[in-house]
Amino acid sequence: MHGPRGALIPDLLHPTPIQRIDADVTKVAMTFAFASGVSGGLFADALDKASVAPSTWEPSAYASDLFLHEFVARCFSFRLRGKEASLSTSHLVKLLERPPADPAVVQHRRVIAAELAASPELRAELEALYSDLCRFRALLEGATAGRKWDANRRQLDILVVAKEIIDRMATRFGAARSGLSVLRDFGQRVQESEPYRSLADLLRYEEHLATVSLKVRVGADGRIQAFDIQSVQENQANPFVTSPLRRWLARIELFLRGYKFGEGEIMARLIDAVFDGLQDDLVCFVQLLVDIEFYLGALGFRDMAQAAGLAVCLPELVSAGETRALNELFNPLLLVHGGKAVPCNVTTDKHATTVLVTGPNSGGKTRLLQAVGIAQILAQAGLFVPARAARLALSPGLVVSLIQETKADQTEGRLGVELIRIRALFERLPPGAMVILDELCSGTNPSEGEEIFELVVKMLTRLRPQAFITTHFLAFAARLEKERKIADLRFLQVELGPDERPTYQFTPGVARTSLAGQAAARLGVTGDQLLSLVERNIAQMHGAMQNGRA
Amino acid sequence: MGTFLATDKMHPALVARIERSIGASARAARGKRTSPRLRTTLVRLTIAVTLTAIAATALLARRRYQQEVRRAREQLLHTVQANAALLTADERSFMTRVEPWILGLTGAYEGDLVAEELRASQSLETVLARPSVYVRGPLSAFGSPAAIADTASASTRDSLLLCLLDPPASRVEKVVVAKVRALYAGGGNVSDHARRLHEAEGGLRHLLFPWQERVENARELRDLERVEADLGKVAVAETKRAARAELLIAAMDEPDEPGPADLDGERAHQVRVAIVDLRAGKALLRVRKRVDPNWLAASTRSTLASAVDGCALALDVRAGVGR
Repeated sequence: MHGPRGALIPDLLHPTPIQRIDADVTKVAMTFAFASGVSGGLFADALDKASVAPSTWEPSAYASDLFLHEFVARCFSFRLRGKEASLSTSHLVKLLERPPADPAVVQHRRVIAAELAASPELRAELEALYSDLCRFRALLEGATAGRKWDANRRQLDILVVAKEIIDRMATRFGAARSGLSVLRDFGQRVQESEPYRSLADLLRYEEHLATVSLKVRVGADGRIQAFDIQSVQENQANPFVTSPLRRWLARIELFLRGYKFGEGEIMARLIDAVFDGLQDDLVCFVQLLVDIEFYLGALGFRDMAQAAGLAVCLPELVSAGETRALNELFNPLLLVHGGKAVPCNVTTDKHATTVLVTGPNSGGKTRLLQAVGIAQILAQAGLFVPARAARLALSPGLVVSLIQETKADQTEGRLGVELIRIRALFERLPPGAMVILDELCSGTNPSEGEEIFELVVKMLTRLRPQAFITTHFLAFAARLEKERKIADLRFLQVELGPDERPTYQFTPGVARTSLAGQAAARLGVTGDQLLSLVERNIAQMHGAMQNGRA
Repeated sequence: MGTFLATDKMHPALVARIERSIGASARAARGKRTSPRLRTTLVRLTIAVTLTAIAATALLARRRYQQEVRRAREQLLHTVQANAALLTADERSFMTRVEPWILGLTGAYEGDLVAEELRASQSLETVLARPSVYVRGPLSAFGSPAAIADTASASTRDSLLLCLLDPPASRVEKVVVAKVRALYAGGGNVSDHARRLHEAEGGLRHLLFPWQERVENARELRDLERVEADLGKVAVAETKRAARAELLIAAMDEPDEPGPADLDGERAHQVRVAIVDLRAGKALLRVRKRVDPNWLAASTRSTLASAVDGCALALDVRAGVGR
């Protein structure tokens, strides 16, 4: 897709560029911001209302359960020149929530990410470009308005930065072989255009109106004895240079047209005209900023993982019939909370299976589900997944249902809420989609819950999903494993160490115990521990009553 | 519509944007409602046009006025130069030739003198027929050129001059009185060639005034009008006629003798009368005669004592030349 003048858009996210922001509205906002220095968050507004590439994923089905907003805010952070970058988090979340339906788009992004990971030079250039774009945004949005009282100076500063951005795009990405080359093409196209040449002329005019040759004679005492102007030469080649008389006439003309009578007003009109010519190209910077954040954020996530001794990778994308492998998979949400993420391996013989995960409480089942979900989202977005190596198949949708806290406005009991979740799951689940369910049917008695569980699993298999379901119905799961009545059902259990503690690894099979007793002991809920608490409370109450009588 | 902000070296697209930026393009003018900037433009344009019109009008009026002043000055200069050209060198130096003679007569009286040229019969008439200037005043009123000018301005063509040129038939009171009356009534046409010295002195003083400098220094029309009025007072013809005089006829009244004065102030006193040939630079006549109104009848003395005395003095002078 092309811009308003048919110009190439520097879209880093799509092989065929897409104008995702409302260019006309943004242009108006940018004109106002340029003129006034007050934008009210022009970039944020434009990106909040921006669209994304067509996607088959429905964010409401998984985003909140996977804490995507927190993941982006904490894991996609990166530093530039020692300062934390201020990310367009909402739009980045939107990009992850709605991964592109077109595999070509995913591949396009993967190639860019791979090139950036392999080339520190290109990454440094992209960071420098991002830094320039941030300066452009800050100047335009008036973040520096308090220091720039001269409106012309502020606008010229904006134009100077705009030129630096265009020049950087045109000259610093010549080595790019991926979709980053669109930056070079865009920069070079703009450089060849009339508005850019006018911009360059204006900036030269502003800094080089004339050359004055001076001859200074200094005496033995170091003082200036003579000061002669040898020549004054106006930069006649510059189209903005006019004679003093013409400048005066221009001032009079502007005055009669209702403007101020001053040299500054002439410059203001020229700046306005130059900016007007560039506006269609400058609007592209808004979208470009978040595109770069998309990749630098992913690289920041990679850096964070490496700093924690973990590895990320661009997964090998395979078909749903092929083996799924996630080697040294970790949950990035653990990293942001300062916990230790223990990587694990998850392998299934094919993707279109339903994996029942069993194991003790606090064994890492829910964390595994989150990690699998986040890995799938990142893979679908064309970015690094939290695993050293991975083979993943793209999925047409994702539904995640993790155990949620009871809400104040909840009208149903826990089972009722679960049943509503199950209903909603089937209402929006396309064939082949990924399903992640935590502790299905845990809100009722085991015998009745198992019936519903089995029904759900049976129905799911008809949709050939990539399903991961945790359960504490161990006997029921063991029966399913033994009977093998349901096709494509696989079983993973939490591995226990020699001390019967979970190793946070997962092996095939069904767990024999939930180790509730261990968990109870660890959390202080054994008979002895509870009895001592009861005795202590009674003693404290008696003591208080005696003190009251005294 | 162009703008001074654009240059020939600019790309047409940039020029179009500049024009649009300042509202000089057709697109900007299409708005149906009048924008605040357009209103400001119209107000400023109206003020500018008004001020320009006022300034232009004032400038044109000033220019026209200055042209008028220049034209008036040129005309005046032309008049001044024409007047100056009318005077010959002799005429210009007339007073410098006259004044030494007058000043010379005011000293101690050197005795009567009658030049040989006057002794022959009718020679006095012949001499007096030549163009002359006449002045009469108290002896003490001729002490300097300025005093001479003042005295000359007060001196008229009185009965002494008129009777000198056209004497009565006899010295009988009745005849002299009749002659005086006739002359004062305008019967003295034969004496037109004898002019007052004042005509020469006053006229030359005006004509030789640095009119050109005054005209050139005048900046306003009213100054030039004043100059023109002053210049109009100069009787050029009369001045030239007076300045061409070949004779100076001067009469100086010595102080009155003691005694009662007549009603017109006439009392007995000595009068010095001189005729000088200015062309030859020679005194032709110098006499000292006594006038005394006592010989007149009381009725005559009360009204014409000075005039009759003057006429009688003229007869005495003529008689002295004859002797």
